[in-house]
Amino acid sequence: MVVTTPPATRTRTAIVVPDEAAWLTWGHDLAAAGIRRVAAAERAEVLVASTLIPSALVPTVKEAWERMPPDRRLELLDAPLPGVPAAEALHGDGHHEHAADAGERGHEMHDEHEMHDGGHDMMAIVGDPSEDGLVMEAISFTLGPLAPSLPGGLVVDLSLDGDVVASATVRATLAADGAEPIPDPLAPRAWEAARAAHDGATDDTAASLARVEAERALSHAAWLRTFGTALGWAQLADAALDLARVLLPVRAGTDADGPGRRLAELLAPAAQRLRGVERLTSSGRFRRRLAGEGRLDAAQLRQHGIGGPVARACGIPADARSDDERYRRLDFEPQLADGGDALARAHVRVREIAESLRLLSALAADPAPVRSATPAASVEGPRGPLRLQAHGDRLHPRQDGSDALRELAAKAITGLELASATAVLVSFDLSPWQVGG
Amino acid sequence: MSTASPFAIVAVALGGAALLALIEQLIAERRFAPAALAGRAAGTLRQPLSMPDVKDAWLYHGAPGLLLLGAILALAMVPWAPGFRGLDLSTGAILYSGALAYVTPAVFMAGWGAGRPLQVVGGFRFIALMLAFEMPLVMAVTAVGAPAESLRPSAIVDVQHAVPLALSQPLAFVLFVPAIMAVCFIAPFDLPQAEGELGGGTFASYTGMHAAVVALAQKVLLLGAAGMTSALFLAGWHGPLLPPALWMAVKTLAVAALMLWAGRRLPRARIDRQLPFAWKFAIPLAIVAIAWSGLVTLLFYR
Repeated sequence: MVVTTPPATRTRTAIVVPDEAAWLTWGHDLAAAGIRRVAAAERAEVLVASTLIPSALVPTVKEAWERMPPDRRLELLDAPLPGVPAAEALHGDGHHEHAADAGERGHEMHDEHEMHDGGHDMMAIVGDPSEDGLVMEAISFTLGPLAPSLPGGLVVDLSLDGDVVASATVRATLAADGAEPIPDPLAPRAWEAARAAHDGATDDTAASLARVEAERALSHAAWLRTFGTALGWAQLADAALDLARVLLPVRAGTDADGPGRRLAELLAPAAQRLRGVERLTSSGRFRRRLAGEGRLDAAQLRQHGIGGPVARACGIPADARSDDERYRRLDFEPQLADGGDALARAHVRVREIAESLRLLSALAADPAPVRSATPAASVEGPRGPLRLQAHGDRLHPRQDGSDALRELAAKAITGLELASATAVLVSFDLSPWQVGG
Repeated sequence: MSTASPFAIVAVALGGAALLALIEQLIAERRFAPAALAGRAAGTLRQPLSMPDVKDAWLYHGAPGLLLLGAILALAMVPWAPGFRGLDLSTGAILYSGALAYVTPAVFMAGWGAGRPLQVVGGFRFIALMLAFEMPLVMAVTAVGAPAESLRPSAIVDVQHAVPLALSQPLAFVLFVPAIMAVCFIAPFDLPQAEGELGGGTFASYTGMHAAVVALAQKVLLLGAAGMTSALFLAGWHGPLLPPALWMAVKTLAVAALMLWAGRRLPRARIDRQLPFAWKFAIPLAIVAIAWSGLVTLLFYR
């Protein structure tokens, strides 16, 4: 076993833990490093993972490692993940406690390669005819926690009637352990801002806003890359990756230097790449592929208190930034769409990238501290409003509606053909991290 | 008319597949690196064979060979130059579609034999796709056979010495191209092996020689599809100045490049839309194309 970080040499097939989009948001461009993800462990030359592997992923990662060819290699990268050391995860007995799955089906759930008996026992004749009058064979299986197009750690239990989803449940299996958790490592800057808001900080500077907006833009671009892959549309996936690549230095710049002239210089290519993405997402090809798919209505979302881009795609102007005095001074407007479908969700995220770039430009032009008289109650993260709630001497992270959103996503894909179900599921940009909600 | 030896056809398959791999690399990765491709192929060949622990594993092991056999048999029907083709049959154009029929069991065997849910779904998908598009494919071929009064591919090329059939029979052409791409599961019709939703689908878990044979077979299918499109609709080897074989090669590679380019610029076709399209629209339109072909033949080819 050789432990290295990926050099940009030849292309290598890889199992990626947890997933490519997550690595992109953590600043690692695996595609540029020559990593090409494959779904089947048998074809993978390397296993790309974090130095610590979340305990819920350990059995699946270990199984994938054991199925890889004998000359397999392990490539470890740094990521803000809790868990067990990779070497221990791969060579231990695999009986790690599933922080998120305790009491659930954790040890029974593996990736989509899992067969129950080594035969075709995933199928069983069901008695009820499907819509076309035929009695079909049901195919029941589990996608995840390392499934194509899904964030690593998200698990979907599916039953197909032919190639139509007959039933589905969606579970987030990852949870931060430890005394001071990062509630969701996919949005650490937004959670830092939420903590600052909870602590009553009112003298936050432009740098904090810039970090959150750069994180949002990069998160949405990484999501769009995954979405393009799920749609089988290489041009969109490539355009999104190109955008993410120019957003990486923007985010690094906001982390290191804050807003200023250097940030302004970094934003110019991002705006140019965004125009390329907008051309594709406003095209007839995109609209025809997604219009009407996975539609939710606003009443459902209001009832469950769901916010974020999913709610804004239903025309609900819910955005924690609207209530933040600092954003109001920057003429912030929430980005809305009307359809409530996968198309609207994609459009909202692309518009939010544009709005984040505009906000970053404004902050770069005037990087003076942006003060607020009152602290924000919550912070709008890439997937919705985040806040911390005190219970006794402990702080509990909250992302309202996140549990309900997974249930609605499962309902939304029921009755759809598998390709559409995948696209719709990805369109929700669900986090695999369990945050109270 | 003379025919080429089986060895020559295999050489065309290997050489053409290598060229198509380079073109694909140029389009997908925006670079030209033959050494990288060779390294990737060598890496694949070094892998041990994957052995699924399922009851029907023989299906899994037999599928790549059958796929390659069907692809090469189809390729043998393509007329590359006057006197140079694998099989010179009076029904070669139809037999081309017949040879592609071997692809269906091969894809399904691969999916079923792998014993994994998404691979099985990929196999089922391909059967549905093949059944739906094979009919308009054969009907479009029938339409272009009328002016030549023959289904011999070389005769169809010869009848295009003045006007390519893509111009005189545009409807048959626009039906043939998506149908042949669907039958050869070329993106955006790569439904049985959809990466984003099926994780690579039917062929995802093949390794070593199996994976190499599958990759070769897919390139040969693309080569055959592009070659037959050039022969049946784009006047094959006819063209000014260049030698006939070179014209055919240029047209074939250009069509293949366009197919690969289109596959990246379009979202993957949805099977729930493609099947109704094929059965409800493409087949009736193919009947119209045949009627149009009869009219054009009576007016201009007699």
